[in-house]
Amino acid sequence: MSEWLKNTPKRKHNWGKIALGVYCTLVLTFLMLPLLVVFPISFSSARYLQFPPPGFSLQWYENYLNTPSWISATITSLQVGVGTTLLATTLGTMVAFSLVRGTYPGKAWVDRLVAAPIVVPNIIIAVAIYGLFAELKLIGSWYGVMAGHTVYAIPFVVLVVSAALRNFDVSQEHAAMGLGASRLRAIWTVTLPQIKPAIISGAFLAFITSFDELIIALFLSGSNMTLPKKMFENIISEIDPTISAVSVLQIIMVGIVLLLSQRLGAGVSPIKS
Amino acid sequence: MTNDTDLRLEKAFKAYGTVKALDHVDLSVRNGELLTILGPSGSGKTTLLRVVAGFAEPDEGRVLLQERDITFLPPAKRDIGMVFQNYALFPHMNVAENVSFPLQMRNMAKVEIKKRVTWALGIVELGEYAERLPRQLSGGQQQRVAFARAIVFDPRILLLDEPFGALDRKLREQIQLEVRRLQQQLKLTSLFVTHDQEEALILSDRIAVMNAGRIEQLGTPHEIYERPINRFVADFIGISNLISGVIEGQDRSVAVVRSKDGQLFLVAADAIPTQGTNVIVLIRPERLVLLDDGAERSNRLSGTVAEVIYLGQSEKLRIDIGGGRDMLMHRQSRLGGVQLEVGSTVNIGWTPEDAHLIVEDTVGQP
Repeated sequence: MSEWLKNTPKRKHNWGKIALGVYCTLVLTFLMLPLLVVFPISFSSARYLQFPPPGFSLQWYENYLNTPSWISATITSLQVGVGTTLLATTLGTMVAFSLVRGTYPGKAWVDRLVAAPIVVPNIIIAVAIYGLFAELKLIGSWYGVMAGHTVYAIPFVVLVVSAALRNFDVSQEHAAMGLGASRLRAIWTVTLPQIKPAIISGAFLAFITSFDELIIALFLSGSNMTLPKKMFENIISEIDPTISAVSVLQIIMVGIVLLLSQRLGAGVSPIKS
Repeated sequence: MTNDTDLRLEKAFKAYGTVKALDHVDLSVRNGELLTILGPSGSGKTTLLRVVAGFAEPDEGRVLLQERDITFLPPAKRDIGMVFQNYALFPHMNVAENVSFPLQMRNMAKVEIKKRVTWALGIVELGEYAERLPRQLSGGQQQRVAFARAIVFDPRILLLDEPFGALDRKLREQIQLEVRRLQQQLKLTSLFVTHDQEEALILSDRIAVMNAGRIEQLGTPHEIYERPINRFVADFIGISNLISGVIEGQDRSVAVVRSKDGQLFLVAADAIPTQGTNVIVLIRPERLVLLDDGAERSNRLSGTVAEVIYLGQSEKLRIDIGGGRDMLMHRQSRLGGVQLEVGSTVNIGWTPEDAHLIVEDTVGQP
């Protein structure tokens, strides 16, 4: 028998693949474990944060709903979140267009600096804006927080939308203009509908970014608290399980937004065929 | 501007850095004709198209569309129908919406839009596909939608930017002829840009051969193929046998050319350059005949067969004539007669009328 025919190779176990699976499971567990604590505590019958909870009760959810300061914080957060989403999505999309389509001096710098708000620590942005807004008497207004959050959220929109725009076939826009559309109308009727999934994803990202942002809100919101700030104050002063009830509600809210984003973020592919 | 000219470029100049994409180009497209801009990539043909469509402005010169100066008019205001290389159909709109797009941009009444879309889809025989999305159509059908969309608003002229490149060969020929038929039927003045010389020969009323930002030659397909003005055009269109030489004398309308290795050739020409002028003799491969079949020709060469490519209806021969030079010959395949094999010695010939004289001084730099 020749050397070639001697050995038939056997199937090999792919140890690398197995190790990767184990690693991923560990990471996921590590990330999910806090939820296993937060959820039960929110239904606790105890008066203090105590784990495992001694009994079942909805008192903390009741407490949340019956405390005006929690409700007003929630409303403020929603207000700020929606406002931030609208502003950051509009401005971010415009920046993305300028970066992908524009030719102007300093564009390379804009391109490099556009992600700066993500890279620069939040506290620095917060302090800087605080200094400015204190002079402008914007501290304590929900729209002041919204402005601060918009600065922070714009890069997310820019990154997502400009990626889609780079993949978008510009000859579509040319075709629209050649067929009688002004530039704006071409963008509105041809480009935007096709990159809509990316814009929606960017918008949801902006919302989530704002909705659980603490540091900027801590400096800017004053007595007009957002939900994360109210939670923070609650931890410092009282520590009762209301905070875990609020956390659960917040997690559910963000979860819904993420789900929506996945659903609506799909659809017509923005990538050229 | 004469009334039978629809589009005119006057001394159009555009440079990108040091590269002249358009080097003072003059061009007139006549009413109802299909004029092809033919050139290799980088010859400036795409820039020319962009300048006409309005996606680029020339640095100098003017563009006139039906006697109006449109040099700086935005694309949307030009009323030019355009078929793009990749069709550029809008994937989020169905066929009817795509075709109605230019009408909607013109704020036309709904009834009129419906009438026109039905008309345009009827012309390209896609009436039943109105509700389909572009991605549900074949390449050929998408091409026809793009054509319908380009003509539905009754454009002043039609621009075609290499519109057949994405189709496979067989379909391409069919669609080409279809587009040509519609273009003639609708009497649409058309400017067609391509790098495919075969396509240009099939479709065009006239061809402008472009190279390095200039139009090297403008003429009918027949003129371009049979009477190329310089080496570039001769090389770019079809396959050429080129023999360099010097004018030795003339006998009425026949020039006598002495080649570099001393052979004399006769070439029929209308205007014969003075003695001593450097010239190139062009003989197309299909004009060459095999003298061994018993034919008589006044120009002759002998050599050995270096390569035979059998194509079914015809065969291509490469004949080594010595001195490291080849002649390419294209002949109908036949049963019987002299069968050629690699290594056979052959005599080939052609008449003075089969050859074309190119004056070397006007040689284009490829």
